[in-house]
Amino acid sequence: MDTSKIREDFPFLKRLIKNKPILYFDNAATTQKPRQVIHTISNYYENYCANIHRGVHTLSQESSELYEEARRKVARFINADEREIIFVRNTTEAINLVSHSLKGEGKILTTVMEHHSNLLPWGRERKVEYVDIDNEGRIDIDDLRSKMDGSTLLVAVGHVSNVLGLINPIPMIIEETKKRGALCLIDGAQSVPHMKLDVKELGCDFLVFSGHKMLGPSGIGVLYIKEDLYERMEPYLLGGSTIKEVHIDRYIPEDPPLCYEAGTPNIEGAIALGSAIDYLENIQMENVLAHDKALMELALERMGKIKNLEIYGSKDGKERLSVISFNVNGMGCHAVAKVLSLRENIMIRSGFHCAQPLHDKLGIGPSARVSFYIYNTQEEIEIMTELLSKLAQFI
Amino acid sequence: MDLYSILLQRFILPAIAHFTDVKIWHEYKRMMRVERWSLDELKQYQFIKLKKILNHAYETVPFYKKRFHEIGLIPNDIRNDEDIIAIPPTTKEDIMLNFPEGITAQGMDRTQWKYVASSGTTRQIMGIHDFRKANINWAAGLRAHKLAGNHTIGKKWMEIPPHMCTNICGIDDSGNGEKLFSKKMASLLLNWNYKDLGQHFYQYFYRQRQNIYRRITLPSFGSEGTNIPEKDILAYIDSIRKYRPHTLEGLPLYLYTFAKYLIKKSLPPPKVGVIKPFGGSMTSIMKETIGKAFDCEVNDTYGCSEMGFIACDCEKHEGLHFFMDLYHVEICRDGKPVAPGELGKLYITDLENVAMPWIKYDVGDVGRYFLEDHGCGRKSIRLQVEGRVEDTLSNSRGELFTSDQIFDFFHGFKEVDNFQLIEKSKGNFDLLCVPNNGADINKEGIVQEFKNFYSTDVLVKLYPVKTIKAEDGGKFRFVKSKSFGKI
Repeated sequence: MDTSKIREDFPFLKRLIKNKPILYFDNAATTQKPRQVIHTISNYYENYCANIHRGVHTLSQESSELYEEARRKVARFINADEREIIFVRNTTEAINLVSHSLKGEGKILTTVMEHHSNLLPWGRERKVEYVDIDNEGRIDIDDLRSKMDGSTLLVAVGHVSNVLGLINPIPMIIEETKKRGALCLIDGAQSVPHMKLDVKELGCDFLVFSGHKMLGPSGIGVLYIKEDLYERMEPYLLGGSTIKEVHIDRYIPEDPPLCYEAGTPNIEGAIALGSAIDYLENIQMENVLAHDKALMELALERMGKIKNLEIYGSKDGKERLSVISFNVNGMGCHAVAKVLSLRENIMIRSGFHCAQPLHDKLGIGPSARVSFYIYNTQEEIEIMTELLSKLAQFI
Repeated sequence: MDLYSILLQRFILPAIAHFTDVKIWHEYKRMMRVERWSLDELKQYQFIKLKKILNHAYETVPFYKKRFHEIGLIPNDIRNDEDIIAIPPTTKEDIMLNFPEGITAQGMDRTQWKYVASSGTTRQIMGIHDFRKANINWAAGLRAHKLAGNHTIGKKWMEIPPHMCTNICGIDDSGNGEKLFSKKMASLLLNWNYKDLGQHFYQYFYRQRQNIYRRITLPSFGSEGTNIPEKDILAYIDSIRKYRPHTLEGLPLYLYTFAKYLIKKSLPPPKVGVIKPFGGSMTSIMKETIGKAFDCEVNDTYGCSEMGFIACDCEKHEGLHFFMDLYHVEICRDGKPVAPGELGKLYITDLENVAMPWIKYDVGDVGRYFLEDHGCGRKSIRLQVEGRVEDTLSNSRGELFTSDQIFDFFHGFKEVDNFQLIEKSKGNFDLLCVPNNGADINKEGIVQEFKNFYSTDVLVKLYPVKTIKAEDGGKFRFVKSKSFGKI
């Protein structure tokens, strides 16, 4: 993978702030977009703009074809069938959709390390139990086993923590889930952009992820549903596109996945997500993973040597992926982020990263977070860790 | 004064001063003596300290060394108060671009330095105080509260800041940290490590200052904006009524909201000794309304997190007496000093922070100064701070309108409960108005009166709204200016 060639595709890297380039390390929040994705969106507006699935004219048909082609790309990307792919706005909406649409009683098991999006939607209408983690953030599998029983409907767990970067033992969790006859939802928001995922091999029932964290635009996300589970689901929103026939006293719903995509969807977003997937597949996900891991390990090694800087989660690079949360003792995380931004245009995140219960569990306040992606370089990490070192060791 | 306050002031603070390096009480006493000096004495003392800090900054801080070289001066060229004009102001950007190693003193012991930060996430400024500066700040706080409201340490204190500090400013100096009776303390006692034991006590009591001060903090208005539900206003008033604080501090808009409600409902005032604004500018109309509703003194103080307490009110309420022994201030327009009573930008030099000298710091506020003795007994110059530079409007004739003036203008309309004036481009405004109790807003009338007030023809579009949202960080900006660059 030629990072310097990849960097040429990202217009934001040409922008200078105070005559200095931008070092973007907030990829867990959203990634930058390559010109190919940007072009796909403008090309759609310039040449194909029309509503889908309801017009016989040329533009509508072309637009529909592009939209469905994007669905096929997403399906291929995770080794699913196109009928198993529902376009949603983002990971959050996907989880809310499952929470509302999944029929059946029973408790939901999730973990204390989850993003708020994988906590709050479940608690609204269902009984939820939370699996514990150890001091470094690893899921307590024994606790999971002890909490899983015949009444467990679904286990909802993040593949990679958006705070600690820990890769959870998903195959083991799915195996435990299947043993008890429960369903399993994987929040892939932080994993799908970085690694090759095969839903058939994993055996998960639901996989959710967002387009904007994998070079695609905001407002487009994916819900994968194992096809035979549609029988246990019912549409969440009704309206345009979700029906075959409507009469004043009855209606016939459209087949999945369309019956789950009410109203005019984010057409250009879906098409551009397809373009982002093309881009990633062209690089090959194995290379993306290797690159991101190498950066993370370098950063972990450099940051681990800085006195007064505390890294949260396991220090073992093998357990982690591309996200590092930390604090500089005596200096608030917002202040660290502000200094990095103003001095060297280093963009990092600060706060609770939508995972306040995890911070509570670890007994810490808000934290600073760096996260890496394909356009980041080792040199950028050296610049960042050098400045962090100055800040942390100054007092 | 109750027993707790007497104990603290007569015995505990002096004892701490005697047995440790914590000289807050001595500093406080010294500062109170300075308050009796004549203006000439103050000026003389201030200039000696100014020269000292300029020399120190030049000798030890890379940023200032470079700056002096750029203007072709050395600190010894500054021979009188007027010469300081030649030094360019230090902007917030200068600070942040050089923070920490470029803007702090080299070759000093950094073990007792501490990060401080201004509130807010978007415009946050970092600073560093050493142990002595932290002590002086603490003492200056006692001084400001004593002089402006007769608050002495130990009296009950309630505050309603715009946001909880730990989440926003990022500095967690709350109750977390080492316990008083810990292994560390035992080890220090056993080894009779006198100095570190003093530090241990200091750090513990510093973290416990909320309890020592008998200060309680109520949450901010949050995301509701200016117009919070009536039940929430009542809950705040109820809390104040029950706690009966000597000092009630809060964001001026919060205090003004409670005051308007008390007046509207003809409610008896909660028992409060003195009211102080916190985190924002208190306008004349706010001060008058709050004083009337709470039937108590309303006293102002001025300061910022980066520096500390800078000035405080007196009973005459004709500007805040500037702490000339701790700071130097210049008020300038277009880079030139203004005459007494004229409006300009505040450039403040901290005379005490040797760890991170702030020389002619562009603090971002506008104000005026007054020199004449107004008979309160304190002879220091007085400062009237009237809001943020970036909230100050300049009309096409170059006349300035501070956010305080504009606040009072719009709050003069009975049908307007709150407002926000947004200058989209020079002379082109959106005016958001929250109607008072659902009153009909006379759009044309208000717009015309604003045009008359602003003295030049401007384009104003008025939109009725339900609330004015707070900025990131919880503070309110009632005026957003595009024309402030001309100050």
